[in-house]
Amino acid sequence: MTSAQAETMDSAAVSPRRGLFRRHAKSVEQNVLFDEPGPRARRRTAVFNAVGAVVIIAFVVWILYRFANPPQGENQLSWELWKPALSADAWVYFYLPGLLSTLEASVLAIIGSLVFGVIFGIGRLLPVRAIRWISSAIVEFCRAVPVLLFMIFFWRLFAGMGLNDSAAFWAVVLSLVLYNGSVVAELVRSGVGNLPRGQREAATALGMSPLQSLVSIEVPQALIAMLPAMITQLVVVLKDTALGSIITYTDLLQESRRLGSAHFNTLQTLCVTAVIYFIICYILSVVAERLPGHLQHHTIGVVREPVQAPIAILDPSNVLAQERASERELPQGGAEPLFPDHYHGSNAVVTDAWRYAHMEHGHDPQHPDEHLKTNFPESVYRKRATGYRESGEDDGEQKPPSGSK
Amino acid sequence: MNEMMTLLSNYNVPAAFWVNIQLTLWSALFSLILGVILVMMRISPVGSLRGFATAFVEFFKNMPLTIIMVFMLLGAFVQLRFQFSSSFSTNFYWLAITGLSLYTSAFVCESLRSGINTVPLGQAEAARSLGLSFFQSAGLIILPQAFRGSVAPLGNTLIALLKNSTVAAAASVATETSSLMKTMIEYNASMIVAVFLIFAIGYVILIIPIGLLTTWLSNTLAVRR
Amino acid sequence: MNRLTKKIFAAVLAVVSLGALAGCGSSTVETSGPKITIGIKFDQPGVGYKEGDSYSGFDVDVARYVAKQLGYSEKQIVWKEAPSAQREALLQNGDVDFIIASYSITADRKKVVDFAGPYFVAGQDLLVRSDDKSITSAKDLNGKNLCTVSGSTSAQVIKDNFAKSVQIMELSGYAECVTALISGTVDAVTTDDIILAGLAHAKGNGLLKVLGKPFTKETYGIGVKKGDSQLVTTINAALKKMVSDGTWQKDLTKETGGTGYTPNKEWNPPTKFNAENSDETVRQ
Repeated sequence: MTSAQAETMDSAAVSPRRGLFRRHAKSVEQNVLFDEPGPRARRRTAVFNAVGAVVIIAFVVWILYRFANPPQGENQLSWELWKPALSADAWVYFYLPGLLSTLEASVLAIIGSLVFGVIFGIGRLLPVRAIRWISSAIVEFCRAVPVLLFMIFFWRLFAGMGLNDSAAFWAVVLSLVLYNGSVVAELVRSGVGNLPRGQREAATALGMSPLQSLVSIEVPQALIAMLPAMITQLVVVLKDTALGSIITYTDLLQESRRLGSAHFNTLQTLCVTAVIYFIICYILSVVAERLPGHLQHHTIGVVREPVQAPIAILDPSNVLAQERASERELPQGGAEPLFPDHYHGSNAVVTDAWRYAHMEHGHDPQHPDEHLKTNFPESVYRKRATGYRESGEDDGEQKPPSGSK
Repeated sequence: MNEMMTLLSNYNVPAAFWVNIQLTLWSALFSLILGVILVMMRISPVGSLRGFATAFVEFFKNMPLTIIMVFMLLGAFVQLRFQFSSSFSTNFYWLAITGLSLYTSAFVCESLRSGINTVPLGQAEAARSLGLSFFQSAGLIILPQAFRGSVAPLGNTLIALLKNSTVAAAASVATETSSLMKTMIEYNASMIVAVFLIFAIGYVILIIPIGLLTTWLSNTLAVRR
Repeated sequence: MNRLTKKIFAAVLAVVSLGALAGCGSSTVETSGPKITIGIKFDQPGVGYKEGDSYSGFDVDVARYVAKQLGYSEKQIVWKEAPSAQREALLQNGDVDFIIASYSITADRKKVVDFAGPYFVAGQDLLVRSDDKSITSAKDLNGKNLCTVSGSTSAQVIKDNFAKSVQIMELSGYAECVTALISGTVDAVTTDDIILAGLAHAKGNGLLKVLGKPFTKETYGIGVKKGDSQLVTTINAALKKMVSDGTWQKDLTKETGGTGYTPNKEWNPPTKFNAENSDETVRQ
């Protein structure tokens, strides 16, 4: 895969209210359209339930029947074909070595993308415009290019550079690092953005520079907050290593095709491989889903998987989209959420400040003092929010008003 | 730059991109339909349908797309003989679309579900108090608002789909970009960076407008409350 | 640093060391002197085949003999899979020292790689279902479906010379082609007769048969990196020795005996090892 599943994974992971709120959200979802059915409705539901079950079972049976009776050829359910796909030899010589290669590439890739992501995530938050710009360009580029293209490119490039045996391996790892690292960079950015402003203010009061504040105060908390998202990302990485089989990396998928070639039972070995992938990915997904509740006590940031902003290079407004997508109404106007509330239930654009407002703790767009508040990044905010322009500013270059920061 | 021009004149790169765009559009259409059906099943009062939809979504969310594609080719087509056409290339094309649609529909369903969570409970209650049935309240009240609330994740899913369409190579679609890039590198090993940049920039150019459109739409369509 | 941060660091450390460990695991090869890496097929019974961790087939036998003549013992050989589509890339990349993977010498390929040999002359043939009476020659393939492996030229030969309207499917291995043939997705599999014989034998059950009318001459060469004429000369000398001391015939009998297959007597065993000059595949 792909490749770019992270995008979809991220969009899939938009149920911010985890832990305590999870159960609540679930019950809301299930009761939104139907509740307390009367006797007639209950009967009707039971009938639909039975019909649905029959249709689903019929569908499964039809698939199995097709397996057993393909239009021509052998019974695909016969033990003769399944035995070599499940035998001890198959596990020892094919599945386990393949799984090992897959895990090896995944582990290296996730570590690499963590490093890449922290570096470029900080890069996008630094007050130096050139660094911010370069980091953004790199991150957005890596998010836009399909992982498979990266893989093919690096594969041939490394091979051309004389990296013989391991060209495919390093191509897989580096491609996954670049893509997932750019996703992690986004996570770092939004994780820091979700921290209350007091954290940075306290750091500044202690005499830390913006970089020090980021490295020692903000990013570590953001990292804890994004741990669940990192695990989701690990699932993406794991799934994407299967792309390596296209560039001859002998991962689990490639090994299973080999095994199938040895015994003329590719369909069966593919099924076994699919099950292996599914079990590992599913366990990780469940962990990622359960983790936030346990982590919330360790950070003041928002422990949940943030929605990735759509790729729009250097468009600051995509930050809002990201917040908006994950926003929730309190269904019954009920309890306060565990995490800092950015919007107080409104996503209407009230002032110009919306572009950066989400980065602020306790932001209230309706507040009369809104325009006077300074935000991060300060210079940009000032200009956007107040329309302030320094005299002599010609190319939209944003400078702090006093020119001294 | 010269290298790129030479390469672009020797190979029909836009045609390859067009194949990916077509794959994306068809899969987007089918996965949207399937995704809506799945999300309706997931919010329905019928337990068996909810269970099926949940299993379906979890299965495809946790399955590498490459495996789905290889299965489409070797399992569904070669072994089980599900086919769309007697012409192999047409067949591979539609098998790839099937694989992409199945895979993407799981993510469409999840995106829509996140949108449904943004619809206040009062909306559903109002719908019920008007006496609307499940299909009426889902189709007229909940889903339209859910769509508006899930523009951003749907946009992300579309971008991911476009990038994923390169994996069609695993289902033997030989005319799409990653296959062409492979061929071009094989015959122009010295210009490998130029070849890569052509395709990378092509994708950046395709994806920026989708991102901008998503942002604009989600700003425009968000329900003011 | 609070407790959780410590835990996370510990976890990351553990993962890193796991990764490092895994890295070691994969590259474990008994180190006994220099290595020679040889590209072979892993999926062609009778030609180049890997089962468990043992390798068999005629290509493998030739590779062992040549490696021995080059001064490498059996233990110093690193086998690497060389799928048809990637043979040129493997040689260009330097991933392998040479390739013995039913690699026919053609003018096109000679542009990008050098060949030693030939060490065997096969002929392209068809594998069909035993109950399929409609195909008796390559000409009968018009309107039928044909399977070959990606990167192989053999299907194009049929399309160009015998059956213009044949539809070609490319899969990544011959075994996948055989499953497609059994399931009826394709009507024939084409490649060289020695490979087809090995496949028909391995799948067994009498489901498949080789037509037995080879319509091309495929001279199998040993692919080496373009420009390495020193290696070509050494390998040619080794092959000459292999034929003259009888090992060639002995190995061929060992690998294809019992399948009813006999290589074309007129062409085999090769006597001239001049792949670089003229002795390339002839289309009849």
